[in-house]
This record gives sequence, structure tokens and C-alpha cells, in this order.
Amino acid sequence: MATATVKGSFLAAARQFTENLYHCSRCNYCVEASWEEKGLRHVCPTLLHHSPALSYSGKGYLATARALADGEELSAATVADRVFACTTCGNCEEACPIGLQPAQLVKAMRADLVEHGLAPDSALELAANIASTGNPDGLPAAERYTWADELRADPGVAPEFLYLPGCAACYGKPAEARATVDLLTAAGVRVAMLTRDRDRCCGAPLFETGQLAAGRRQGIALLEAIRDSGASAILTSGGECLESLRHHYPQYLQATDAIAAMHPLELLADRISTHGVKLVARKDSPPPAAVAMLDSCHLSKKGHGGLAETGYPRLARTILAALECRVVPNESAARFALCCGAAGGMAQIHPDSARRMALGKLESLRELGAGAIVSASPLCASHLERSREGGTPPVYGLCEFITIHFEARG
Amino acid sequence: MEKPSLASELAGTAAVVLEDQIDLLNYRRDASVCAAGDPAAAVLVNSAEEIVRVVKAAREADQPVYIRGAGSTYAGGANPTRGGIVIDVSPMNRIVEIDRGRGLVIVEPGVTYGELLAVLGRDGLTIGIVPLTGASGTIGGAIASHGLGTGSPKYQSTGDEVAGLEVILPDGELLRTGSAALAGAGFFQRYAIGPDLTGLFLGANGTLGVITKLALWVHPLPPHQETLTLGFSDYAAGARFTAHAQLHEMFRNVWYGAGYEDKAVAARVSAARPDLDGNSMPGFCLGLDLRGDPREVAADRLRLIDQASRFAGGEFAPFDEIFFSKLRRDFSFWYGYAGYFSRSMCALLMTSMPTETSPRFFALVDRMRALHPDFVWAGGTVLCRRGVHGAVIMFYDEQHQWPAAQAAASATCAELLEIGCVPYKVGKMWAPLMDRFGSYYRTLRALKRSFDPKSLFGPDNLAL
Repeated sequence: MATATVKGSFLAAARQFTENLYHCSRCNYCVEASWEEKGLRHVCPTLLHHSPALSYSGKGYLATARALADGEELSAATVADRVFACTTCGNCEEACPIGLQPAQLVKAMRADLVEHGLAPDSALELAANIASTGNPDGLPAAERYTWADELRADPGVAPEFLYLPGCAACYGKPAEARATVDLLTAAGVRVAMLTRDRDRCCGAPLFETGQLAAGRRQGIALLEAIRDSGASAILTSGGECLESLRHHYPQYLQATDAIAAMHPLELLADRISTHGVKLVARKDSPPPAAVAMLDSCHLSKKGHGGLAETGYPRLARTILAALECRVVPNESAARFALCCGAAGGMAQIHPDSARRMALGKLESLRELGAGAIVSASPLCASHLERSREGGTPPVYGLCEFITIHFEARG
Repeated sequence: MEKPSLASELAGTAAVVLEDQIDLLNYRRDASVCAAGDPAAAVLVNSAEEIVRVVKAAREADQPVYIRGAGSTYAGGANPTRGGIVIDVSPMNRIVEIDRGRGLVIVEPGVTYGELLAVLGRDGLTIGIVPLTGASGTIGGAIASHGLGTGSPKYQSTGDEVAGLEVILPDGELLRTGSAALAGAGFFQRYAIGPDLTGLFLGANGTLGVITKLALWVHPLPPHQETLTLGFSDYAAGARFTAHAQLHEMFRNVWYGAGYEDKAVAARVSAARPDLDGNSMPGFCLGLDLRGDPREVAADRLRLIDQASRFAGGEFAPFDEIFFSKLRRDFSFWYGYAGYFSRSMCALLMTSMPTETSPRFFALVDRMRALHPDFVWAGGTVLCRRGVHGAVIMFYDEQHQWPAAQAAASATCAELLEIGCVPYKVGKMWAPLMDRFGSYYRTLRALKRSFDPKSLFGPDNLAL
């Protein structure tokens, strides 16, 4: 493996980005750019916390693929090392002044590497975990719904939505999953869940790490379970799950009859602000004066196609504003927010770097002086919570924060 | 050439040595149309001391050294065409001191313009330079490659805003220029003691030394900004007005001014306002970014419009609304950079000229358009306090046209010299034409031999 090389013929999925390769002017916006008015300070979490070598940057990935396309032979192991060290957060794409897509290129190069048997062992382990336990961390499938044991759907009432909490919520932030169901119920939304033997990873970590065949298998199984449930609309807490359901399934599964998927925020923002769900601050657990919003890349950046178009940063802040919570930073900061290291396989492939990213994120949020850190992404919230050290505010899922500090009335 | 012992020379420092082929792909070239190089190593340095060590290792191994900031410039200066070592100064990104008493800021070369403007802005200050590669471009890279170029009509060129430098010479000696030459005196006067040594390193593309600190003059952040676009019947009328306004210092509050081709104006305005009569478009537009005291700016605005009328010109609001005000109000001269490259890769040929030459400059752009129809051509001018800068922009498809684009760009450089346009961003783009500068070039070569007898620093840049 150490001496094996790859060359242009290795590129297949990545070929769709050929125009990008010859258009990059190496302006460096994807490496280090500061644009205060737009809230841009640093761009690439991998360069900051994993390695300063430019081959780990957006323009580095473009340069590597360009060299291959131009016929150079490169070390296969080194190409794989670089390509699997990206968080795929998409900040480089937000910063690129001419709209190039290095993060999408990375995903395509990963698929090409996987196709040639060049995926790192840690990525393969992630896939094996999903295949055997239904979640990327290999935790027992039987524990997926321990947080929901006493929840019982009312058999006399047809559910409006099927709620898929996602692996990160079920295992990493179960309080968020539970709070989401409670809040939705309080808001009059009728939700049902899959049985624990049929719910499973949607395949998002597999799509992100280029393991498309495994992702397809995972998606097909979940889609079958969804169809069997009779649901026509889905709520999911995971930003990465939302991207899979909305974009990866149509793209990789040819699931043309894709089921409408929403994030619970999209419903809650509307119900809390206009439909009269009255939430009152708990006297025994008053909310802090200010909360720091951890804007998830999957929900905020346009490359993920999550809620960026529907304005997730605004929705999250609308809910908290309706509860008279001051939120920092403002929503414009979400566009260039630095990744916390949770996604893109970073936490599994380079856990030490992912932790440094989380610590950097926690420090930047701590500096905002808020009493709590809140995220609508269970993946980000649980990753930060695991990495948290003394002196940083507690980390909550958004619904978890609301149910801890507010109670529904009327 | 032998392999330099970088690892042992840099042992115990925080410098990062990169020797892997994939890591070095990113150090082969900058944003220019120029040929790429193939370095043996790149070193990310954090201090002047580390640079001294790299230079020592390079000298002992007889390896050339190229200096790089963001690598976003467009004259090939960072391209290691003779191989060797690339010193990446981007980690040297501290703002060392904002000295309000002396009215200057001292920075390391890797500080980006975006960062510096943000930090100074919080202190109510700014610099008198319009950084076209703003958010990501480094100050060291800009001064070393672009030091003779676009400043602002208010403050002349970029180099005029440099109060002094700290530089490592090829023999490893640390030089401080201007008043800082006296130990303990620090930067406060660029012109001191004798001849100005600061100027030797502006636009020198790292051929004479490695800049490790820069002192720049700071200015109060203007409290008010507005834009004005003037339209003229043709380039000649626009040039006559510009020369008149420069002589009478009507651009005293203009921080950025740009001249636009009739084609660029017509294309943008027609696309956004199809209701406007195409025949009523100006033959030349001058966009002006006015900043300063609101009353002074208002008075200047009226005066400029009034004076333009003496040259059969006047305000042309549509272009201002559709393009120029957005370009400026969004702080998006940085988008201006992107704008150049948003169509495709492009060659940017940067020159200075007397204002009266600008009509011939635009005529030359038209001629190149006719001669090389395979490329898309554009031309634009940028105002200085005296004279203008002219940029020829040639868009090309790098996958299929790179060698042809290099040839067309080189031919255009030669044509630009013929009409009296003098380059200010030379790097390797204009190097083949350095003989045209006669005794200036011979003197520069003599200086180079004296500073750097083994030609270690930036060989091929400025044909040195």
C-alpha cells in the first residue's frame, strides 16, 4: 500500500468536477481569509487543527485532483490520507468567491478511493459498525430507543409525521430526542416512530465517506421500513440525516418517490411563534440570559442542502427569540461558522483532530459569554459535550434546552 | 545541487518542512498564467530566526529560495521555476503593534489585509491601500509583488504607504530600513540617513531579501462613504477630465477610482436595464469611491460633476446603481478579484501609464481582441493621484489553452511597452522584457550581484 500509486484513470466520480480543477485560481480564500463584515475569520478546521499543509485544504484537494487529471502519479496512501482528513463541512465552498466545490470533490474522490479499495481502516470499521449494529459507533442496537421506553403512540390517532431521531440523537443526545417528541406533542404534532428493530442509520456517514454501495444498502432498508410504516412525511433531528433523505436518496438510490423530510425546527418555529404554543420559563430552572448558538454545518451551509435554503440559522433564533432568549452570535455568523469536527467521518477517522476542533469551537463559544451552548444538531451537541472540559458552558440540544428551562402551558 | 538539510537546521523550531509530492503541488504556482515550478521542499515558518536557518541551509546546498505569502498574485513571482525551497511566510501573521503615537502599524508578512483592516477598524483606523486580493492576500506578498501598484488616488501607490521594513538578506543579515536602522529608534520615518533602502524591496518579488516585518502608515477610518460614476463620450474625453481633476486635486477624497470600457458598461447596463436606449450609453465610465467627512464629500461630488460637464461628461447613475456602488459598498473590491476569475482563469497584465496614454491603452485592448479572438479580453484602469494603472485581462480556458494563453499574454506585454505602459507587477510575466529597461535593468542586476552573488533568492523573477 505504501508504495502504490494512483493516476488520472483512478478518477471516476471526481470527473464531474473537472471544470473546477482548471478554474481554481489559488486565491487562498479557502485557506485563510478574514472578512469581518461577513463574519469570516478562519475557513478550514482541518488546516487549523489537523495539519497546516495546504494539501488538506480546499485548494489542495483541487490541486491533487488536477495533478491526477494532468497525468501525474501520486502515492495512493497519501492521497487517501489527505482526502479522508476533510470534515466535508463545506466552509471552503462558502468562502470560494467563484463558487467552486472542493468539499463535493472530496466526497467524490472518497468514492473513487473506496472503489479502488483505498479507504482507511477506520472508515471501513465505521461501515462494519453500521452493518452490524445499525449505528456508526457500533453501540448495541437494543439501546437505540432506551430514551423512549415509556412513550406510547395513541392507537386511535393517525400520526402526521414519522419521527426519525437519528443515531446521534438516540445514542449521543437522547435527551434531545425525548425533548423533541415532548415539544412536538405539546405543539399538537402527532408523531410516530419506527420500531427499534427497523430504525437504523440512514447511511449518511457512509455517503460522506464515499462508501456508496453500503450507503445504498442502508438507505434501501430504511426506506422500506418507512414505506411499511405508511408514513408520508418524516421529521428528523439529524442534519446529516436530512441531507441523506432529501438529497442522497434521490441521487444514489434513485428514490424518485422520496418521502418529504423536514427538521423538527421547521415545524416548531412556526408553532411556537404563531400557533399559540405557550412556553413559560420554569421558576426552578430559569434560562440563562444569553445562549450561544452552535450552527451545524449540515443545517447551515448550502453545500449540504439541509436547511440552508429555508434559513435554519434564522429558524433556530426565531424560536429562542420567541422565548425571549438572547442568542449570540447573530444568524449571519452561521454561513462561515467553523466546523466542530463531528461530521464527515472526522470523529471516527481522526478522533484526536476532531476533539481539537471541538475544543476550539467550545473556546470560541465560551468567549461569547453565554450561559449555555445550544445546537439543533444532536451530532454537533453530543460531540461537543463529549469533548467539553471545565469552564465551558453546558451543551444542549435545542429542544432539550427548551424543555429544561420552559414548560408548556395551555 | 545537493539536498538541503532542512530537518537538522530547523530542529527544535516550530517550522513545518513539507517534502511530500502532494504537499508540494500547492507550492508550484500562483494565480498567474506563468509556467509552474517544481520545488524540492516548502517550509512554513513562524519567525525571522527560522527564515535565517532556511536561508543558511539553502545557501549551503546551493538551492534557490522562493518566498510565498498566500500565493494569490498573478505575475508568477512565487513560482519556483528553478526548484529549490519555497518559504511560506503565511504563519507569520501577527499584528505586532498599532502605534497611534507614530501613526503606523507594524505587521508580520503573513497578516492578511482582511485581518488587518478588521483589527484597525475596531480602533477607528485604516490603511491607505486598496487591497484587491483583500480577504486572503497577505501584506508581505502584496508589498513584495504589488508594492508599486494600486494604492488609492488619495494616497498614490501601495509602496508609498510603507514606512519601513525589516528584511533578511541573502547572507542572513537582518536589515531594518529608514529610521529603524538606528537601534532602538524604531519605525517612524522612511526617508532617513541616506538613500531609501525600503524601495529596494517593493515589487522585488523576493529577489533581494525576505520581508519579515512591515511598518505601514495608518489613517483615520473615513466616517462616510458614497460612490459616483461619471460617463464620458469616449476614452479621450475621460482622460482629459481625469488629468484635469488630478492636477487640481479633485480626487482628494477618492479612495478608489476605476475606468471602465464602453463594452463593459454596455453589457452590464443592458443586461440589468433593457429599457435604456443602448445608443445613450457612455463610451467610457469612471467610478469613484468617495470617503471622508460627509460635507467635504458632498462638495467634492458636486464639483466633480460640474467639472465633468466641461469635458462633455456627467453623472451616469445606471452604471453606479447596477455595478459600481455594489462593488464598493459591499467592500467587494474583494469580489472584484473574484469577478476577474469568475468567468475562467485569466492573465492579468498590470501597468502604469500617464493619464493621457489611457485612450491608447484601451485601443490596444481592442487590437488584442481582434488579434486573439480565441480569448476573451477586457481592459480597465485604476486611478492614482497622478497617472493611472492599466490592467489587461485575458480570460482563457486553462485545460485547453494554457500554452497559447502564455504566448498571447507575453505578446501583449511587449505591445504594452510599445505604447508607453510600464509594468508594476513584473514577477516572471514581464521578465523576458527586462532588457527594454536599459540601464535601469543593468543597475538592478549589479545590485542583485552585490546582494546575492549566488542568485539564491527568487531566480527568474525580474530576470534576476
